Amino acid sequence: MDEPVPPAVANNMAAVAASAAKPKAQLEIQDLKTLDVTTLTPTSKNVISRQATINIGTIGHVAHGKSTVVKAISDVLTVRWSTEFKRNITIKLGYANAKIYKCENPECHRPGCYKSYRSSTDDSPLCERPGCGGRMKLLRHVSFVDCPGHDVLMATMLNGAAVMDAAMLLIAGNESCPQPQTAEHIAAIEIMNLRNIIILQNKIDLVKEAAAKEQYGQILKFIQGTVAEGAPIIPISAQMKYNIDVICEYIVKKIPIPVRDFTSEPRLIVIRSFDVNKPGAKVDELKGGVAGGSIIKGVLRVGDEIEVRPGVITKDLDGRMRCSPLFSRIISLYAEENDLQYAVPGGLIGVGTKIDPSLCRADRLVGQVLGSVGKLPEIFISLEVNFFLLRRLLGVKSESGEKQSKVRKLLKDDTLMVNIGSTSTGCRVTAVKHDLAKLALLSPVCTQEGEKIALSRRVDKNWRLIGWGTIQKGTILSTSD
Amino acid sequence: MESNNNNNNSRDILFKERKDKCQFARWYSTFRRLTFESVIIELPKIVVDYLNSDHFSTETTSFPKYKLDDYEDDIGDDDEQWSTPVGKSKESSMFNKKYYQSYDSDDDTDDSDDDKVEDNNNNNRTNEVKIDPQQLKSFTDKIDEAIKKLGGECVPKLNWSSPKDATFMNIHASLRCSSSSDILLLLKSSDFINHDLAQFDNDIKDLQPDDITPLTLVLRRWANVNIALEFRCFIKDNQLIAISQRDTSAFFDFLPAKKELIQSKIKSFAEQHIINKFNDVSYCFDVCFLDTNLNTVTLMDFNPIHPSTDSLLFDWYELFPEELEHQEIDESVKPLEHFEFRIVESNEGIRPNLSMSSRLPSDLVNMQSTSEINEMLSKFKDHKI
Repeated sequence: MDEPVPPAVANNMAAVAASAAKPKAQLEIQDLKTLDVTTLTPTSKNVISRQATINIGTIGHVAHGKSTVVKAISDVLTVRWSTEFKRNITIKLGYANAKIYKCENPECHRPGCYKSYRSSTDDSPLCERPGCGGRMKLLRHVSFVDCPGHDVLMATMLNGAAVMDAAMLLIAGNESCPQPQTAEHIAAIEIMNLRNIIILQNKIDLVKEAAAKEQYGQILKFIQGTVAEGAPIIPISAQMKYNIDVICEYIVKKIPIPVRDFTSEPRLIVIRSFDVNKPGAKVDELKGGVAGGSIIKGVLRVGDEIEVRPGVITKDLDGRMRCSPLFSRIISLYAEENDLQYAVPGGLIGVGTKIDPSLCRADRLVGQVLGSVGKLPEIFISLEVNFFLLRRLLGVKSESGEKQSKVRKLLKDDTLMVNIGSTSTGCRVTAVKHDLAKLALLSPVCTQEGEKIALSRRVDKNWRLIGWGTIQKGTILSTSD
Repeated sequence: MESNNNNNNSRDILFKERKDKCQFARWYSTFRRLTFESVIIELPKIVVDYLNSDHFSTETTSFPKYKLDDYEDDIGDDDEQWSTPVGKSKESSMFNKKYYQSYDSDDDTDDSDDDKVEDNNNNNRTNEVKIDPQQLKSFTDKIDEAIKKLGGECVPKLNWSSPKDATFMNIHASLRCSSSSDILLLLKSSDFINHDLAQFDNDIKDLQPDDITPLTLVLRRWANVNIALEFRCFIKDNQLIAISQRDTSAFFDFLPAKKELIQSKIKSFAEQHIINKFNDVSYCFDVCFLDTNLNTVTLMDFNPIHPSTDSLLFDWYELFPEELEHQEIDESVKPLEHFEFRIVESNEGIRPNLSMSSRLPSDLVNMQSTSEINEMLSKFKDHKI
């Protein structure tokens, strides 16, 4: 696309693309009988026909058109969340998946030969270029995740590994660069350990060419010496759908295929869980609970016998905790609107199970771990940790001054919040010796020795980070089946 | 400028009045037949003080003793003697001493046992506040009695909010409580509850000095409500202008087909039971359906039209554009022209769950500036155990 299209036309095109995708698309058949996980890659046709395998964090201010950019690429208008009248407009966009294609007709030139459609589109749609008549080939299936998500930050901090595979940083072309938040965004990219960055200079339709060039220079200068140095800067107009093909080309060419572990025992971290039954469903039509999350490693298949840990937790009359891991079978798998027979790491995966749906209501399984029966880590009820405390709280902006910001030592009976992997729970300090502490968990956690933890305390009515630790040893909670 | 100030003042007063009217004790008696059975217990000062303090302990099953003052001056060994940690001496060079404390090894020899350390700590708790056991007992007795009356399990809240953000501290991963210690743990862990306490101090006390609703603990009968059937309704000038699905992080495929039925039930419920009966003209209320036939609407709560109320699938600008000051809004957002009922329409574009951010340290959630992020980063990078 060489010149901006009037908005009305662009909207029409979007509408056409959307309606074209409505009927069930021709997707690759996933056959469990012939599945050989050792041959799968994040670009295997059978996989990317149905699910995303590359996670891209979108970073930028909402007012710079973040949701419009994601819509322009994925054709999905993400559900927005806003709480505040003004300031702190905390808008959290949803997950959105997109397929990226290239036209196979050699007559189609770059960048116009690259194109993106929503996740449920056919694998080889007709090229839209008038007179081309060629077919497009599916090259990538990506998942856009709004960043910096705090859970992503925490996971990165605790594990050091990058959760996202790349970042797309959005800058408004009609404002000077840097804006205060731009530096913040680059710092977030740094924290999240992202090396593959694409910078989008959005709203280019609103400025004159000279201004756009000037800003391009400002951006170049600004990213010098940062993690974003050397990243491509693409002028776009998400509103006009201008240069979206260039973004697609860069996603294909600049973002390396991530290395994934498909052969280990599968493990999924639950980040949502729900009961999808219609009210009054009869017993024979009742569907089991659904758990949604990201697969950390391995491949989940329909029919797999699975376990969810720690499962249902109860306390008896004298306060003793018990837990019963949930044992079930995978009935269905899906990624957005696509059904799957097997699911690999990448994007958000929904797992339909036979678990009592009322146990899954309202995110009750969030933070739990799903995997093969007998292959998950132990469930600990108390931990012995090697810890160290910050001297002062981060930020040091407390109005009460220095004294307030000092982190006081751990004492017996302190009640803290502990983040372990993707799980949070409370704990009570039962003993402290030098840099070792014993923590009684308020809820059992499925984890393992050597795992990193973060400790937070209620200070000034907020959970404030006070230190880090490593699990040295844990007391296993015996399960009641 | 002056008129601007006047606007702000009248806006503040409006907000305060709205909040006041949405306090649980203000509406419960009028609507008790339409909502969950509830018991209101006045919060004794000692409990309010505990919730406001930095002390947090679960040491007894009933109620913790606590202290108000800082510990730091009481602890002899908490002086700025930053040495390398003995336990991990090998790696100690990797700690950046500028950022991390070390335990003090001068005070405790290696053969000292845990008990000794603990004794030292306990002796240092000179400013400890012991709670009058009688006063506490009468409070926990009231809770026990209420829980019994409510069928053994309840959901706690204060004047406005429930500690929904703290469910990760509860073994049921929900608001379901069966004892006073369950309740205190949730209240103490919750930012929403703190918001209520602060709001009470800031807004309500000076509003009607003669007629202050006290801070109360509200216990409501627990029910395993299907969150798919919870909805928030927005009333503007006594008109129902919008309804939103309450759980915005999930798509329920049965909902689109039931939308019309749900809408008509809620509309007639609002007209029959809520509008002109609630003591305000603009507000939100939450409802749910407990029966499988979607026949009976149950009232859950009232909330003020206010920035701290979640507008869910709407933007406040769509609902009450005239109340918003000039601000950064997404260009695609326009004020509503007609009544609208929004639900999550498909599995595409599902947003992540918000509850995830309340279970992380606020340092991470509120990072406002580069310097803070960088500081965090450098501290983190020094942390290589």
